Amino acid sequence: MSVALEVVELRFRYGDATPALKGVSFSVEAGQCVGLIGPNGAGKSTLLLHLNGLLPETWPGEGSVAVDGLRAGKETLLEVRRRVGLMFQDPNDQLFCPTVYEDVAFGPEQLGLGEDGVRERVTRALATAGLEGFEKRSPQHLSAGEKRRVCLAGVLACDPSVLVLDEPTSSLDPKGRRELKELLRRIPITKLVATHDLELVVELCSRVVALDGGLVVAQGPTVEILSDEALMLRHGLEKPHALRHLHPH
Amino acid sequence: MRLRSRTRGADALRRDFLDRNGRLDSPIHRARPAVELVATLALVIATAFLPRQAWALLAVVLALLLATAAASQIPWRFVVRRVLWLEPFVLGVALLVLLDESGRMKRARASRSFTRQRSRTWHAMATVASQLFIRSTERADRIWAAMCARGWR
Repeated sequence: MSVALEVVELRFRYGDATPALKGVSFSVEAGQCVGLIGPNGAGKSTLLLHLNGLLPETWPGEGSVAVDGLRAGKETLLEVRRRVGLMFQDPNDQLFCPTVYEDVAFGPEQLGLGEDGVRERVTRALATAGLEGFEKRSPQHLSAGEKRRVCLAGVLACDPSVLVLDEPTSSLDPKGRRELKELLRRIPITKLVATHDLELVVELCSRVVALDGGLVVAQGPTVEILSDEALMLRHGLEKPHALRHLHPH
Repeated sequence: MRLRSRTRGADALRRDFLDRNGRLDSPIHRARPAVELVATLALVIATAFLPRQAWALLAVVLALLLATAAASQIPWRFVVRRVLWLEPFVLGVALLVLLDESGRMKRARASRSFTRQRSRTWHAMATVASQLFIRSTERADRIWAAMCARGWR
């Protein structure tokens, strides 16, 4: 299997503050869905921003990020951003166009596809996200679940090779969460999911990377890592209910 | 947290774009920066506090702005282009963010306001104004980052 995403010894600090990433290394194989877990302030969001070259002060700074073998750097910035589709934690930060169509079309337009190419991408992305008929709606007036799916469609329309999701299920009701989960399961792209929703990790991800204090504290098969109750508690997490039945003790 | 991501070249270009008329000589250009800042803020705040249907007063504001533009000797074509063509997009996004953010803060404040003391109100308003500015800036940064993530240069 080929490696879709490789992060090696990545370090970063905000201004003079304590370092946010202290040498993070992990890789994601093509087609895999990997959960990125850890307490608040562990460095998850900082790491995700690095994957898209959005922390430029020192970017690529210390360590390296490579997507499909392409090492992220000044020259490769735009291509890396195209290859990595980043869905932000707050849909309101991502949706800024007056209509759903325009918002989903934003990425393809940046790619310089012609009008027909853009329309084709948008139609396909909206269909994948189950949003047919939403083209003329205003993103601001949709439900949280629908907003999420518009965000996802906007990212998918860029045809990324790795999908990076920051807290995809936060603020969703059970139905919205279930729909998003099924949707993500159907999308055959490599995925990295940063979340506190450990049940989602169990349901969706085959592997996890646990981050705490800017370091990878554990990585491996989901069930193995999340079943380690002591490890989970030590890092502000807990063993998900779904696994309590599997490994009673 | 700053998420700005522009290459150095683009940054320089932008600065030139913003400052193309910065070297003109006019009463406006000669005014002290502090005066300019205070006057601009005063105008923005006064306009924001105008009742919704005070058309006459809005006309006064417009006249004031036009007079300032005339006094600054910046080419009209540049002014018109900035206002009609570029600004609606940027302003639209900024205003939406500002309104949305202020709405949320208003609700948060209302749920925890129990007194109607004037001094308290002023204090709260000052806090809200500064918070609004910071939050809008941070949010604008995040929106900018999200745009970059989808290929914006």
